Amino acid sequence: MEVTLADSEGRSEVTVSGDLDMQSSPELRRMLSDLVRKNVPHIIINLEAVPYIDSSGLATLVECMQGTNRTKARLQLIGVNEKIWPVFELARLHKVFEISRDATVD
Amino acid sequence: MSEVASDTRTVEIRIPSDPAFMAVVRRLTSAVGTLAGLPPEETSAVTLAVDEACTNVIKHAYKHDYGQQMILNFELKPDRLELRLRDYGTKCEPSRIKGRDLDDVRPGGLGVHIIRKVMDEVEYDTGHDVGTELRMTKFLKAVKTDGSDTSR
Repeated sequence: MEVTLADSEGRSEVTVSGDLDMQSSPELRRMLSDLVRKNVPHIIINLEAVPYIDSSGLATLVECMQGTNRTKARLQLIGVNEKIWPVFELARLHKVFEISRDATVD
Repeated sequence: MSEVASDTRTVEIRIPSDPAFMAVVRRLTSAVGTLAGLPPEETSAVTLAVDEACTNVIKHAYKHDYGQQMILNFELKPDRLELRLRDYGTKCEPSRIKGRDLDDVRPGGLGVHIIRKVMDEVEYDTGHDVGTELRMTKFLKAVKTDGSDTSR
């Protein structure tokens, strides 16, 4: 898995590529915790290039959402593709996040 | 040599209790699911459930000791795929294993929910001297000659 970060005008876009699982999620968790700690007002997580996510990956995203709820920041998941969308549905998290299946940011 | 072929085919692997090997588990499960005749979306779901079962063993039975082993066994039968995951760690207590309420949004506890939601039967055998055996079954949907599904 690779994670890249791009900052612009008060928002940070985290782009993840590769499987998001028990092995790789700690790296993403560290980056997201850092953004929450810095009170970034708008965090975007681009999952377009993530072909697989498990409960460890979902837990990482939920943890980030709890952080942004505390800091009143906006968290957007974008590019939630057809391979991982069913996992969000299975965990009923597709209605919990601000989530879009394409990778464009509004 | 017997002229009657067995209607059960078995695949078994021994895997280190190391998250780095979960990609191997997923590839194998996906291949076995396809061979068993599961449709692609069910193969993906079963692959996720097996991954969750293995990571639960790493977390709870072996408490993140990545130097242990577990055995994953698949039995492909005409009407079902049976899976057994054997570990030699701390025995689980089935009465304490429950998926969490999904309305309670928090990290953790999703793995058990996913396993129960995806698999048709889930049973924890704690009768071994050491460790636990998790048995899971996924039934194949019968397909009629016109291509439509029939309920089993």
